[in-house]
Order: sequence, then structure tokens, then C-alpha cells
Amino acid sequence: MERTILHVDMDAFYAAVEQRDHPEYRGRPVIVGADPRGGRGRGIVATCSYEARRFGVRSAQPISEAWRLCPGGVYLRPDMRKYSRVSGLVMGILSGFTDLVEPVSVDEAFLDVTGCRRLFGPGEVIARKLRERISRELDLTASVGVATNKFVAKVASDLDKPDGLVVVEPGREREFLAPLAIGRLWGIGPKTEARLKALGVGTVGQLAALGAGAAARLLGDHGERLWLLACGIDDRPVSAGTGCRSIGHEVTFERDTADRLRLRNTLLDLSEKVARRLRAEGVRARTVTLKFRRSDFTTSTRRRSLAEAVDTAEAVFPVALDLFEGLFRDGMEVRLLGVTASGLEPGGGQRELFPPAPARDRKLAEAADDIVRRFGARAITRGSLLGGKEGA
Amino acid sequence: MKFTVTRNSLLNELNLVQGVIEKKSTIPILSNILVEASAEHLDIAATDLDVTIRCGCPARVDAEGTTTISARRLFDIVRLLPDGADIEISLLENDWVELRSGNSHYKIVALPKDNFPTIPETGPVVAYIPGSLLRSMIQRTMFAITQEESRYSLNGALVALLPDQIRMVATDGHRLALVSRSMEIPGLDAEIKSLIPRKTLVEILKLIGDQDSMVEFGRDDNNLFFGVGSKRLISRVLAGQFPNYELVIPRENDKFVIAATKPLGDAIRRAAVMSDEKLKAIRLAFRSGTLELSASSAEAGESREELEVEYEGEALQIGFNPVYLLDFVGACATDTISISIKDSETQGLLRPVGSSDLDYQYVVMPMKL
Repeated sequence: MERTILHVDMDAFYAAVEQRDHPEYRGRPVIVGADPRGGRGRGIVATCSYEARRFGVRSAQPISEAWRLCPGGVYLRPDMRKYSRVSGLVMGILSGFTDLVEPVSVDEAFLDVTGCRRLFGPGEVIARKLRERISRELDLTASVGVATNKFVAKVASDLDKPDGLVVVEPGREREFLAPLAIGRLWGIGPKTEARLKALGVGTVGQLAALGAGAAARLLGDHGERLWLLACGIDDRPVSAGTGCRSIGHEVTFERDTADRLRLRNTLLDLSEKVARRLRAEGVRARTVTLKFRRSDFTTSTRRRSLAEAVDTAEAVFPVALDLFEGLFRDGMEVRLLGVTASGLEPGGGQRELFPPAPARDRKLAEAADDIVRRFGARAITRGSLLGGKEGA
Repeated sequence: MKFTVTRNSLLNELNLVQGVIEKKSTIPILSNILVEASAEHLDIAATDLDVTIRCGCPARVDAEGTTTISARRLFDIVRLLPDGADIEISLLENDWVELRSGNSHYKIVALPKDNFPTIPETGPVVAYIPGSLLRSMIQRTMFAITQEESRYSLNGALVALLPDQIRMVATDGHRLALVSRSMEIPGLDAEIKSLIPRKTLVEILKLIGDQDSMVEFGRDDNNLFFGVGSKRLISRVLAGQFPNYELVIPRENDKFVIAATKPLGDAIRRAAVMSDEKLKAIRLAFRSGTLELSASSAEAGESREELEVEYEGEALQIGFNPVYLLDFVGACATDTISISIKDSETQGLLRPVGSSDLDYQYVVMPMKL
């Protein structure tokens, strides 16, 4: 049966929430991200309002560059607690239409409404209804793409932002994608894009026209998958379960640091945050990845797979530290550290033969989780982190 | 330095040292073996700084001397030379080594011995263990050692030499293999407990080979020593506290199943094909006279198979990691095994039925289904 998939993407989410809550920011360029410190700030732009985009400000841009482009903007630090509360309200509205809601991030989700077309009408009608509810109840706007699969829906939602609704009729996916630049395909970065362009493949349609075999020869392992996407074919299901494939945290230091103790403590703090989220989502990770960026921006990642799936800082931290020791040399100035857990699997499963130590770690961790839930992230920390870490 | 050895005796020794040499060592000299010619003998040593092996073979020595040669390269050359050939090796200037055998002629880059790590001295022998016994004990426990390097104290097997028995235990925290044998150990005057790293166990197996000679065992504060004939294995002691394994050996398992080993192993393998890729569990359902094995996964489908077993008791279901069960099935070496369980939450105990004089127990923690 033909599926109907919606991709719902909140417009400039963090900035929009701030503009909604602070009428004085409306109509002004709002930039949510790191502290710009008069242009000397570090870190990046998380989101910016459409007013800011007119100045050339983009998300993931260094905050110093944003400051240069738009010195008169309203610069705000992200209030994640507020955004995640609003995000919960958005997801709540979405789940009023179907159980099959797959949140991709705080401001983005896929919906499979195939089964509720008889109840609510065709995809386009459902999209109008949910946009209307988001606007009426939350005073925010969302762009929605409607298509027969996730990929096409996602491309569609992005096409007429902000406050857009784009419907791709069944059977017209390939035609819809054909004129788009090749870089729109998931998994094609700037380098691959340049390489393909040099070969005369600049649009999605041109890639589709190559055929599967040629695409695989050009693009290696992922060629066939990319070719299928280019043809508008994507059979990935919308999964309402734990949608995220990895859980990670990273921090850019205020000033590059070579202080081993401080770096170590930052890793411990990041490991703690990652482990806490693993437990919160009821999953365990089999792989720990360290991201390590030096002051000259050379970035290395190192990963290690574990024999056992883990969900405590006691298990994540030693691995992260060991990977770090493999990269760090005395005197090396570090700009950014990140810890990511992936290879997620459902918690539980294998029981432990010697539970005392791990169970004690876990019990302690659970008690700490409870304190954080009730009193916030600053309510409890490790003694070794007092004063020594980098606020993420 | 100049000596002549037979290709076969040198090949034996080179074969033995390959396992110790680290394939990816960042310290170049550790890829080399120390070669020392003196009197009528060639001594060879290899080390990765944790495990060191010393062996050698008779040689006709024309000039005494020492150097170090790439273990891998020398092995590759020697194994390709014809069976029964003689090999003449001599040290040239600039630390090169010349190797001649029949019409073959090599010049090999070597490294001076000065940078080779100091080989630890072997301490006094404190016990003698029959080689065949040590071999079967290692074979029955080694697979249960954890693969996770960060669980340091589980990275090896515990060997306990007690006044009336010898015992070896290994675990990864999910299952535990324990093998023991009642005997008086020659040479032993005080109880000894040592953690032997996995790599050392592998090398001990090679050292013993298929022979039944006595293995000399010694230790000091830092190292363990194993000797077979003139060969010596020196291993750093694995530090850390091995868990209190005796506490987890179940004593109250009151439901007993007797199953034929091979059919059980085959059934587990067939059922496991359909186990969830991440959870990797199979379900064992015991009913009077039958064991039903099943597995399912949302992506793949499901499997079910019935096996006749000896079982009288209430119906019970328990989940296990099939790999853990198969490890025991492969190691137990008897036609029949027993599985005892209490309930679906606590550990099961597997044992060989009608076994030899080795007492073999295998404890497996179940999985939540």
C-alpha cells in the first residue's frame, strides 16, 4: 500500500520560541548559540531567526562570524529546558494524529499517517490541521512535507520554509527531486558533491539517470543507496521506538587548553552526561567515540567497541579517557572534546554474575538521575569536577 | 657470530615465538627475536614486554655472538626452505645478518642486541603440574575470559594451587568456567593463587603442545614462570582482585535436565539463527521429557525446535545467550551433559555427565526475555 509520510520541521525553533516569549525580539535578528563576547566568542550558532538569516547568519556557523555579519542582533544563550518543554508540546500535538511519530530532534519529526487517512483525510489535510494546531496552540510555525516516504517528505518540508507546506503526489517523487542540487541527498558532503559535479552530475536527476551500477562505481558502498534516494525510493519505516542511533555531548573550550587534568575532568563530565541520557532512554551502548579537536581545527575521532553494552559513566569514562590518551600529547592545545555512545541496544538482556560493583554504580547513578530530575543538572556533581570542568 | 642449525629445529622454535611477537608493535625491536649463539647451542628470546619466551635448539657454533632479527621475516624464510636443509647464519658488519642454505642466500637487516629489553630471570620452581592436565584445564576455561580489556582483573584465568587440588577459573561476568582436580601437587608447600593473562595461557598451550611432560611453575612478585624442557615462558602477573567466584556457584538448583551433548549443540545453533541480533537470546522451555528451544526477532522471524531430554519436574522457561551455551558444549568433551536450574532469574549450572577425574562446572547467568 502507498504510504503517506509527513516530515514536520519547526521553523527556526529556538529563535522562534524566544521571539514568541519576548515580543521585543520580534522582527529583529535573533541568534541563539554561544556567547559572542563582542566577536571574540567561541562556539557556534545553534539557530537564528529568519531576520538574522538575511544577514547571512546560519546555524553551525562560528559565533564570531555571526557577530561580524550581524553585530546588531539579539544574541541569546540556548535555554534547552524551555525548548525541550515546548518540543514536548509539539510532539504531543503530533501524536494526536498518529502513534507513529518518530522524533528526529527537538524540532523535527516524521509521522506515518497511512493508517489514519480515513479518520483525518488525505496527507495534505492532516498537514494543514496539524500546522493550524501548532500555530493556534503554541504560536509557532512549522513547515511540513508530505510524500510517500521519509526522504522525499524531508526534502519537501525544506523547500518552502518558513511556514510552508509542500505535497509530493505519489508517483511524482523522481520528477520532484530531479532538479535539486546533488548536495541535498543525505550522505553527500561538499567533497563528494564537488567530485560528482566535476563528472557532470550536478542534480539529483542526473544521478538517478546514471543507473544503480554506475552510481555504485562512482560512490562506492553507499552508491546504490544514494541512487535509490535519487530515484525517490526510500523504504525506511517511521519508527516510534528509540529513534536515535547515537547519544553524544561535546564542548568547545572558552580558551584552548593543554591542561591534562582539566581535559580529563571534562571527559568525565561528558561521559556522565552521555551515560545519564543512555539510562534515561533505557538503552545501553556498545561503542564509545571520542571527538578531539586541536587549536588548529584538525579534528580526530577514535572509537572503540565494547564487549558489553554499557550505560554508566564508570564504564564510558575509562574508554573515553583511554582514547584521549592515544591522541593527546603534552603541550597540545585542545579546542573541543566530545563523547558519543552508539551501537545502542535495549537495556536489560544479559544478567550479571557479579552484580555488586556494577549494580552499585548503577544504583548510585539512578539516585543521581533522580536528583537531577528534581533539582536540575547543577544539583549534583562529582567532587573531582568541582571547579575543574568546562561548562557544556 | 656464526652458526649452523637444521631448518626443522629452527622452524620449531620460530613457530613457538611468533605468538609472543606483537603484530602491531610501535617499538621496532619488539618485532625482533634475540638470537644468541654460544657453545653448542642457539638461544632464542622474544618478548612483548608482558610475555617473554625463551627457547633454543642445538647448533654448530663457529663464532659466538648475539644479534636481533625480525621474527616474521626469519620465519618466512626458514619455513620456505626445504625440509631437512641446513642453515648457516652469520653476523656481518653494520648489523646485517647473512643466511645461507643450499643455493639460497639472504642478507637481512638486523638490529643490535643493546636495545633489546632485558629478559627477566626465572625464579625458583614452586610446583610441578602435569602438562596434559594443565592443557585440559586451560581448554575448558579460557573461552570464558572477558574480551573487554577494561575489566582488567577478568583478563585472565585464576589458577589456584591448593594442598589437595588444583583449580582454574575464568569469567567475563556473565558466565564462569571452573575446573578442578583433586591431587597433591609435587613441590608445593604453600597455597598459591595467580591470575594468568589470556595471552600467556595461549602460549602455555603452545609450549606444552601435544606432549605430556611436566610443567615447572614458579613466580616472584612481578612474574610467573612456566618451563617445559628447556623452554621458558615468563609472564607478567595480572594484578587486580579476581571476583569471589565461589559465591556464584549455585547450590540450590533443584531442577535437573540431562541432554545428549551433540544434539543439544545442534539444536541451539539452529534455534539461534533467529535470535534477535542485539539481544542474542534463545529461550529454553523445559517440560517433562522435552526441551523446547526457540528464538525470535522482530526483523528476522522465529524458530522453534523440540529435543528429547531427561527431565521430570515443573515446566520452566529460561533465556540464555546461545554462544555461552555452545562454548560449554564445545569444551565439555562428554556425550551427555546436565543442566541444573532454579528459576528463570538465577544462574544455571552446566556439567559434563560421566566425566573423567576433572570436576568441571560452568555457571551461566540467564537473560531477561
